Amino acid sequence: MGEILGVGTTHYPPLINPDEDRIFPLTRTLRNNDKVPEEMKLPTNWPEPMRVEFGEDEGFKSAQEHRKRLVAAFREIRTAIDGFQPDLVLIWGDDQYENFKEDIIPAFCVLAYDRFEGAPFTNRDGSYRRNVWDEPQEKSFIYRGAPQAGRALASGLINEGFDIAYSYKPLHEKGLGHAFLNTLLYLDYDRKGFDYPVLPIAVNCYGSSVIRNRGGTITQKVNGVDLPFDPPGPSPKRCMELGAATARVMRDSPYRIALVASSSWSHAFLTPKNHWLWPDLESDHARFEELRDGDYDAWKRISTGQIEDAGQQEMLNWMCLAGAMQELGRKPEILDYVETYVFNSNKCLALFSP
Amino acid sequence: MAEILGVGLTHSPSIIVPDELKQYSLTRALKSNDRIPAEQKDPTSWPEPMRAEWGDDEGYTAAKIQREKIANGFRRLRAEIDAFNPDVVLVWGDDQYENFKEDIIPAFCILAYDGFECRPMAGRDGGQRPNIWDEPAGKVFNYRGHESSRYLASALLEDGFDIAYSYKPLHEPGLGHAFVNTLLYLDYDRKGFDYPVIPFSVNCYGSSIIRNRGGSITQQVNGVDLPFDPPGPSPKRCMELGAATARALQASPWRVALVASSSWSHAFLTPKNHWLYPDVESDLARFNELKAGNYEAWRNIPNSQIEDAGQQEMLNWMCLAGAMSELDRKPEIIEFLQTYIFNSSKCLAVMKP
Repeated sequence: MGEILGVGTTHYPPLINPDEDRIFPLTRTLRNNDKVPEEMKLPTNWPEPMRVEFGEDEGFKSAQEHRKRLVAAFREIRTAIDGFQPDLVLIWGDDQYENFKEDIIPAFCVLAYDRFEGAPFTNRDGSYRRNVWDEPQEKSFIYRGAPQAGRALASGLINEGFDIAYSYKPLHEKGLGHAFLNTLLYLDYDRKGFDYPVLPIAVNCYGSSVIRNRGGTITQKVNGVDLPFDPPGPSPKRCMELGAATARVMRDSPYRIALVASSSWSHAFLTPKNHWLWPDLESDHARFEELRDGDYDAWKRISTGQIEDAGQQEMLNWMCLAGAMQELGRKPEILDYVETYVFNSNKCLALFSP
Repeated sequence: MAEILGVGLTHSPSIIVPDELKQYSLTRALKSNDRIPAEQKDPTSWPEPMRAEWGDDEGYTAAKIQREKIANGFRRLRAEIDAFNPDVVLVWGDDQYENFKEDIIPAFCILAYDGFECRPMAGRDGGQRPNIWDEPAGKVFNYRGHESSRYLASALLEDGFDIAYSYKPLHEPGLGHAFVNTLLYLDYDRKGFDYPVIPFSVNCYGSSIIRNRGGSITQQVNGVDLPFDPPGPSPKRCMELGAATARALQASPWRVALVASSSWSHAFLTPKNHWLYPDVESDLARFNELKAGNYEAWRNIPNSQIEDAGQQEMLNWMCLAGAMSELDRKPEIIEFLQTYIFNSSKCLAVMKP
């Protein structure tokens, strides 16, 4: 008889980098995004709380505070996982034009590999990525896969009418995309090791722009013409149905499993109405209140258009978790809800204990 | 103004090969399939109609008769398509470990490429594949893609189908055999085929797609059989997808031919017949249901029954059946060719507006 622990977390990439390097998405946007109106690059035109957060040091002090809260929550989550002693850890995460590209974009894919090897401190250009652990460029992280559970889950979902893709080995991304790998790095923030088998489920969060914008903010061009919109990702409702079916399949399995949704919520770089500078705090706050109250049906009614307007594309990972938790009748225990104007995205960290 | 034509046909590879070469899957099975009991390889142990079909020329006479019926059937289908004059031709076909392999097996995938460049006459070694048209290995067949492919992928995703889509090839440079053979046969007389196409890939081989690499032989690693893979989509799910496809295209501006491409029960997928001949009885039951327009009988067939009957590739037809059920169309049967020795029964049908 399966047992399930629910976990909501973030894979916010800048936590890897030392804060003093100030590699924040905002500083990058201010430098590189030509679409941002010049006047909006001036802090005097920003919302008051954003100016305060940015401070006199480009957000350095705020970044330290941001990290402190997130790390404290990661430690709580890790303690809960260790207490639960799962047979495997399933992670819903987005693929941001990493493993899946023009040659196939699946709505969902179960990565039922035997093992995963990642080298997160080597940048794409081969350079070293400085990191808070001061680990060397060649440092490799090896995780055990869950191929049998992955096959069983894919089978169960297909039998329930989900047209899910599965894979036994990498396509373009050699190890794990950042959504999965960062999650594992943060769940082992204190580097005591992470030996639980891992079952990543890729969700096409970036939908209509996954190829058009390559999972980023800049629209790609061919011969000077913008690429057209791509087909949408799965809807919040469909993600919740998939999550519910996953919970049913796993409840009837022999496994103890942690179901982890990994993503921040509204992303500044996906929110044109805020000039790509800050996320949609109002919308996130509404989602947060719904989550806190266990009002999952409110999430089920959200349209893909609404998700894209709010820059909440990656919340589809959380929608999968929400569907599972609704199926199990679970309410969340909020560990922290971190709102920010400067650090790209709001972050929610929560546990849904049996 | 949207309109839909339904077409069911086969992509049986042996149609490409000249009959006198006798390259049938049966002769190959008799030669190389070690699992077939030796006594079963002896024609005296075969069913009577199989012996008659085999004759005293290893099926050569029967092959010529089959070819004539199939070629004429394809000519009639082509005439129907030309008369309908579609904006685009959608083909449901299986991917037999060609474009999709260990790095991803989608249940369904719309191949929304700009174009398809195919070299079907090149053998694996690069040499000419013997073919009845005597076309050279380097002969290129170019087919156009169509904007409706993105539209359809979007509509299906919005309708709750978790389909994959792609803009360019993954492993198979042009088109897998299910699609390219279909297009070759619809142009049997080589007058050209200029209709844009949407290949719609269906994971028919399900629990053995990687285990058997879309064939008959189970792969081994260190002497151990590979485990079973997750199943393909169920007949019911394929029919739902077909129905949703019909709805989406009816709401579109395009005239579309919906083509299901596959033979039915396959000998090489039918262990209970020692991989020698297909499940003729089960195919006949499916045929009678189809002829009567009794699509509902197909909807509740479990995957296990499909696999027992070696009818894996019929999932392509299930997609078409779902669409035709949605449109309330009855089929006009053009040919139903039953065979013991040519691997699979073949049905050719048209469902007109």
